[in-house]
Amino acid sequence: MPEEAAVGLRIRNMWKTRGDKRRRIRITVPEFDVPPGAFVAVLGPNGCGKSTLLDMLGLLLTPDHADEFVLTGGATTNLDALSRRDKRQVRRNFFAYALQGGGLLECLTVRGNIRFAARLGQPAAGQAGHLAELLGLDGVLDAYPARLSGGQRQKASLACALARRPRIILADEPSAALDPPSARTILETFRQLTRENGISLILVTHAPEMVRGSADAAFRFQIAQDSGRGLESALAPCRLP
Amino acid sequence: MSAVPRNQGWLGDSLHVARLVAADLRYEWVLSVCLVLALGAIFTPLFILLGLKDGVIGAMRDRLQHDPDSRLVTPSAPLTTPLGPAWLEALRRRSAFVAASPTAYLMLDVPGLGEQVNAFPTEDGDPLLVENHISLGDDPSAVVVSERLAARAGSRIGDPFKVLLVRDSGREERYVLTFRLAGILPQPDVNKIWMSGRVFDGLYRWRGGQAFALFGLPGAATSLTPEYDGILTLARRFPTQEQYRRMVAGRSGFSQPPAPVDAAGWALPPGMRVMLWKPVGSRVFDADIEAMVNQHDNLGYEVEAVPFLDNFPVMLESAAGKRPLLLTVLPQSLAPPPLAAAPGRPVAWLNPETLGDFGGCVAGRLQFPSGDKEKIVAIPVTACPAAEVGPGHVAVPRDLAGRMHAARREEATYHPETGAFDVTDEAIRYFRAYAASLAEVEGLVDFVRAAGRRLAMPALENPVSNVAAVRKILLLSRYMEQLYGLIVVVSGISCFFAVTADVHAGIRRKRRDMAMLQLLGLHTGALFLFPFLKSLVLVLGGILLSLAAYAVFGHVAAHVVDLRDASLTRLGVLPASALVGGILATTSVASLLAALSVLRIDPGEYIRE
Repeated sequence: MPEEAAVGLRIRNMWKTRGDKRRRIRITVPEFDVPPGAFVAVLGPNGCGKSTLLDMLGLLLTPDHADEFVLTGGATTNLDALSRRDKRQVRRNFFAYALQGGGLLECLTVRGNIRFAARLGQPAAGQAGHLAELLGLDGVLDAYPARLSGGQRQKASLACALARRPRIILADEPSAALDPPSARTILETFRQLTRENGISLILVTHAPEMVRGSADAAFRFQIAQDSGRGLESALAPCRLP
Repeated sequence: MSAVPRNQGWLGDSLHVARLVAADLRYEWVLSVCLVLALGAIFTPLFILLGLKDGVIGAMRDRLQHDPDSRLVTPSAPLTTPLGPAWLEALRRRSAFVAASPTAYLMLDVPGLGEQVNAFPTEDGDPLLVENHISLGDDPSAVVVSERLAARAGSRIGDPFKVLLVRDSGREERYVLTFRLAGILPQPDVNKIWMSGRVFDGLYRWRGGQAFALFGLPGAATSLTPEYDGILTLARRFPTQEQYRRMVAGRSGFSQPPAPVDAAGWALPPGMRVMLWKPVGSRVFDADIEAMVNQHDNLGYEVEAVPFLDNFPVMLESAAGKRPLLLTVLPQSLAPPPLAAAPGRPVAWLNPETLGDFGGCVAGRLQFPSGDKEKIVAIPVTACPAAEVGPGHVAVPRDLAGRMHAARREEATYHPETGAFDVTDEAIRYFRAYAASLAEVEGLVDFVRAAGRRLAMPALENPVSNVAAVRKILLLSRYMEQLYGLIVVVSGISCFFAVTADVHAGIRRKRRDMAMLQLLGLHTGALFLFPFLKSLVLVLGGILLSLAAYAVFGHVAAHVVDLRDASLTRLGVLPASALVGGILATTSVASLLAALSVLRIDPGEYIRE
């Protein structure tokens, strides 16, 4: 892959309130920095607002407030001020997703999915075989996702995310379907590839042991009852146990 | 915003989506085949019905359209009064082709054939010739004959074709003309010959006594044959009613016995009575008058036969002014002694009271309308007094009276220097008019009918045409069109809902993929294409399947139902294209409306799942 400027994220004092009057949660991000090319883990239990954070980072949800929400590295881009069209362009050109058991189109083979992802990103012909080899997908390149095991789907999803050559990968429990040793191996390979290509990785997980020793920084959601009826979930830096 | 890079636009994304559509159809090929079959089941009846409609009705329409007789309108008989040029011009404007002639047909002899054939006028452009790809060109000797006549004469196209012309104008004249056979019409049951209009007219007028220079045929001494309205028999003693009945039943040429008359335009000699023989719908010639005398002779009765003119008004213009008179012919027994008339001025006898006191004869002119009554014929005469002529009448020599009578009908010109009448060339009494299309036949018939009512010409008022059959086919065609339209509307609605439901269900099934594609940043407009293109491909598949089913149906139907030279089904490019276009338009609208639900898919759904 050709060298390109790595991109990071900087967020200051951003929040978003979701839900209705009976069940409301306010997700607050006081300070969140992802240096260009870094691996940042976001920890927290189910229902703490991890998906909402990913929606906001992926520009699918607009925060209620943000003092600062910018892409860093090279030129600084204020993400909070983008038009809908520009958000789509940024999402397409800078972000990729590695989601739990997803990220694959059922009508395409593994090879087709990787190629399709590559076509949407920068020109990267010939990457499918290389990525498949690295992620151990050699034997299933011509198989449809429906015929893959959970682990193979996960690997294929990661390959697709990498094939797009994004600047930031948003990963949501990407190794949940794998046994712990395989998950660790795959995650290490994945991390190695993102590092080699200057890709920042934001990984959301509820299993801190998976990222111990490999994450450059970690944040954890802390839930508290707010003064009203709802919950307040705030993201704060933490140390990995 | 300059920091945001732009990459593939709507078009590039559309290509990605098109590839995805192809992959999805391939991946879900069983489902795709089922949908194609379902859509084909909706479309196939439409193609089959269209094919049947155009096949059955179209074949009938084609037969009518290609059969010139179905567009033909003619008078029911040759007209007694010539048609005016203005009306003929109007007729030509309303018709695709008009063959106008002085008579309906000529009866000609073909040497060695043993029977007469009917000759008709034609020209290049005549649907009869056009439908059979025949042209006369500029060759006046070119003729076309019916299949039967060609077979009987043993002639083929390009062969010389001989016709025998016979004229009896006091002496019989026979000429053999050699034509060139330019074509053969597929009419296996009749002996007919078609020749160019000017040759037909020339032969017709040659029969009437004129020369026909084009073919080197000489004129006759007289150009009009004397004719009368009846015969007056003058005698002291007449046959009995029983004898008259036998005469009528025999070969007298009359269909009813004579009736006694009191006045005939001249004073009856003492002791003499007069009987009037009047044919119904016909005329009397000199030969009939001689035959009448002979018939009476055979029965032992001596009669004098005098030509009868029924109410023939003329105008005498002389020094005494203009006098309206009725033309009559005096019996030989009452004729005044012959006078030495001035050259070119035959004697006209008038009662002295009618003529006025001039102390002898005076020059004058007898005038009467000729042909279509717009033309006035003027004959210079020497008007002399004769007490035998009844008041208000004028008697002229028998031959002149007979030719005047013929000139009244024929539209002729009188030449005083020769005493001959020339029949005017423009006297048109018959036509074959072809409507441009089946739809225009009725209008053409109405036009002719209206002229018949206005001019009091029964032959025009009741023209001959196939308008009733044409009307029936067109009505049936219209009913089929309406029925088909109704079925198309119902099928179109079914098709609309079927496609809408299919596209909507497809989007529901692909909701996760759609969300993911949006998450990847694909253009929303391009995503909109996904269900639309997929639906379009399935619809096209359904159309192709329907066309294949139609072809099978047409093949089977052609073997099961034998329509001889026509086929049960027929699908033209234009109607088939219109149907395909209609289906595509309807299904496109349906799939576009259903595809709108793509816009309601939230890409975040994919993350949260």
